[in-house]
Amino acid sequence: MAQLLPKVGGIFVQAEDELAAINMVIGASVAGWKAMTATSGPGFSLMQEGIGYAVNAELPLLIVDVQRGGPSTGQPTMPSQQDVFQARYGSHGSYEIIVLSPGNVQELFFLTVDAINLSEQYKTPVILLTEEVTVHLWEKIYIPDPGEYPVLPHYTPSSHNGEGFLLESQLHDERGYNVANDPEQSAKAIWRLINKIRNNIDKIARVEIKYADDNPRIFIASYGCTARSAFAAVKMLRRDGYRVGYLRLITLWPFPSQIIRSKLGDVDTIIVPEMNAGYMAELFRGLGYNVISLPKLGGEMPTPEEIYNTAKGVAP
Amino acid sequence: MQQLLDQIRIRLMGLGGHGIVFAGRLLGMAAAMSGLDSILTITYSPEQRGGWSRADVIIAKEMVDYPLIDEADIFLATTQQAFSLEFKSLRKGGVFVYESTIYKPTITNEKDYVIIPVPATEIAENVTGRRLTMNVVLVGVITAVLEPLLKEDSVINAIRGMTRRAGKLDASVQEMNIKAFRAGLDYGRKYLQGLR
Repeated sequence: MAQLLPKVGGIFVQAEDELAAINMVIGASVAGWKAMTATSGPGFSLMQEGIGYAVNAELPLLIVDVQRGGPSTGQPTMPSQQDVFQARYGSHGSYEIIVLSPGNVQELFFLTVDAINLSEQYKTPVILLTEEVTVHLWEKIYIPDPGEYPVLPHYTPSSHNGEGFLLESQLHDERGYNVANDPEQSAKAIWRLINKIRNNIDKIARVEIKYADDNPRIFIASYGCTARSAFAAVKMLRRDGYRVGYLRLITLWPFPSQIIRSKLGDVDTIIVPEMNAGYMAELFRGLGYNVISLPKLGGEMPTPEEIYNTAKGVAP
Repeated sequence: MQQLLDQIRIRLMGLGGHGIVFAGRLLGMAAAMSGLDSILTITYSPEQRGGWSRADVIIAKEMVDYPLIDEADIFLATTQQAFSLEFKSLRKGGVFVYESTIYKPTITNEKDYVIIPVPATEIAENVTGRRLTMNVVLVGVITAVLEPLLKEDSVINAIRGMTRRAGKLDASVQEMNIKAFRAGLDYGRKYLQGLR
């Protein structure tokens, strides 16, 4: 980024720490620039206050969190998916946020663009949540020509009486005036921030479903790099005659409950491999499915064989 | 061998500075440029100087799903350390390539593997006058193992397309690498012919 951004008219700043980084990104967004920052688990924790600020001030920006194993300094250079809930609710207060989970290097490219587009469309920070495995991979990708892939223009707040605008981190009304002491107006302000995401889940959230044509009653559901192992496992299961489907969450938050329910139909069991203590498995359980959680901690990806063996034990 | 497998898993390992990552990038790029899928993961030991580096390349006709190598079909080790650490990851019947002017490995079940000793540093020095093209000589040998899946022209194209941080490599460096590659390919082809 440091080498490439200046060549295309961008600016790269090496911040002194993550607190500075997130606040520089906030400042850049207000000042009319599309801005992003990238970090790993501990840095992402430091950025949480700024993320909340950007949610409340409705600033489009992108934060990339390349997850390592944790907690604390944890396992530098080792992959994990342990930040899925930090990404969702890491900052204080009630809010909703958009979190995308790329499955490969090609998607790192396209979902970065999508994430920025979503941030501009919904005027909110968006998080690209990925893992060490994915970002250190070298693989084949297609880079579209300028103009080929949709890119939204940057949103800047309109000026107030031609004299700039009010930027308020306390709860505020649509003019930017502080309403923090007004319970009714405050509630309205929080609900508006929440509902601009919740009411648009169908437009925001995406899942990828494969091997579903013969209505399998068992699905393996995953996301990010773990989905690569899951997909390899489903291929192996299909080759051996087991009816097992494949689901990948491209959008982690907002969680695409309705889409999953409507697309999966009569599924009994969902196997959820993930590199954390079984967080997303709980979400599938909440949808009423029988869920087999396959949590894996320690810094290694689950292998296709591990997932295969679990699925084989329950598949018809 | 490659016709029997869905994908070929290649583990390259040696000393930092041996050009292991460059070799991995070359093989991966060559495969990608010839219509195959390829994926490369790079691992280093924690030492700042004198540690090992490893490049794992998977080459496949279909998209590679699981990106890591648990078991290798081809293992290249340019140092004793690399051999000691990772020879165990080579599957039975796999191909073992080593740099024979740097070390001599002790292998207990020699018959379980196809073993190709390559005096790559010597070949590099003779052909290009530069020992540091040793890694590209070894890419040539591995290409000989992978033929016809991986073609000579694809690797040469990859060498021409190779970049480093400052941009493309100088034409003279490219030509030197192509010479080294051809010498390695030639050595590999002859060696494999001798095994048949």
